[in-house]
Amino acid sequence: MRKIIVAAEVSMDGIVNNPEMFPEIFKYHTDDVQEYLDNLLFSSDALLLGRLTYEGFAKVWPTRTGKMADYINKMPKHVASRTLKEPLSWNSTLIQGDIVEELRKLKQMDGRDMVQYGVGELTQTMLNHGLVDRFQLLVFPFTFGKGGRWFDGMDIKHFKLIECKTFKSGAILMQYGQA
Amino acid sequence: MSKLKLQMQISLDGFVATTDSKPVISNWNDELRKYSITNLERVDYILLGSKTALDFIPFWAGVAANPNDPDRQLGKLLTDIPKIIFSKKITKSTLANAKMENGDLVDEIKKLKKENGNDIIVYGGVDFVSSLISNQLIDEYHLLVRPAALGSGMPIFKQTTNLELIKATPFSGGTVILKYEPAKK
Repeated sequence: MRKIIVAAEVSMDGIVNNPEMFPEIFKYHTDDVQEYLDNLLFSSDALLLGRLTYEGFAKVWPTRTGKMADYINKMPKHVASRTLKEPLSWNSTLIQGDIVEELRKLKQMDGRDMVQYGVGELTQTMLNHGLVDRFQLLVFPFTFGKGGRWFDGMDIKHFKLIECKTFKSGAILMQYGQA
Repeated sequence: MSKLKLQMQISLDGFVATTDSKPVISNWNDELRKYSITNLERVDYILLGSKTALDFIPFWAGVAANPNDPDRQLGKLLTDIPKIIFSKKITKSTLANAKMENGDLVDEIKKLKKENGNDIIVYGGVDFVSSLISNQLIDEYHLLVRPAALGSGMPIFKQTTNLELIKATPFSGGTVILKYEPAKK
């Protein structure tokens, strides 16, 4: 069965999805970090996105070139949104009907893993229904102090540590499964 | 010159306590206990804020006095090591093995580091630790990252601080201990 992987780049104090943080994050993107990010992408064959990530990514990725951009632009994207209407751009389709049911069906199909980058309402829904197989937190060695956090507003969630890997820049990958 | 070490449990989403000041999570175990004991080697003082001291000191004295408590050895260390309690208002301490410090936080800690050969450690509370961090007084961070996310709670970092990862150690039970130092400028 295909796995759903949620991958997020976070500051050491758990701040996520904050564009102001990106210049700081890039300082720590050594070649081994990039290799991990490449492997994550190339071992998957579909992206799962909420509306906000879809809108952001669909604008930026088509303007980029290179191996990673080509792969992301070509791969199918499944978007969860109550407000967007078909047709979507960027080789994306809306998940119709019951999100949880549709995600379960997607997992049963043949194929590689599916990745969600970043976190939001879709992640919460998936977590609450036990659909996330792997969380990959890429933790950078700086604190940011302000902004939204990775699990804001959710109830306490327990996880199972699967892997802890250190990169040259002091970034760490912590990989968890749902407990 | 001595180092000021911080040791604290932290959730995956960066909280060191729940909003009603409860600790992050349980499942304390033997490995974490041993780590805490080792972290007290060459430590001459435990720093505390005045609110935390009222809980911390009697709690660990109780643990140390209980022959059946698995944390007895840790409790004894935490009880025997002298405490320095920072407070603007309280001038005299009624707590055992503790002296009050009414002076300026930055000045007093810098003096302590200069005069002292061995290290100093702090475990909390949240406001006290946040001040130490924003005044750049912590020399070593020992963060016990628990395999849980709280969704809300009390953070200790209020600004950007660049760090250098010294070591990341996964423990059984899913906690990862991250040891950081402030990044060298």
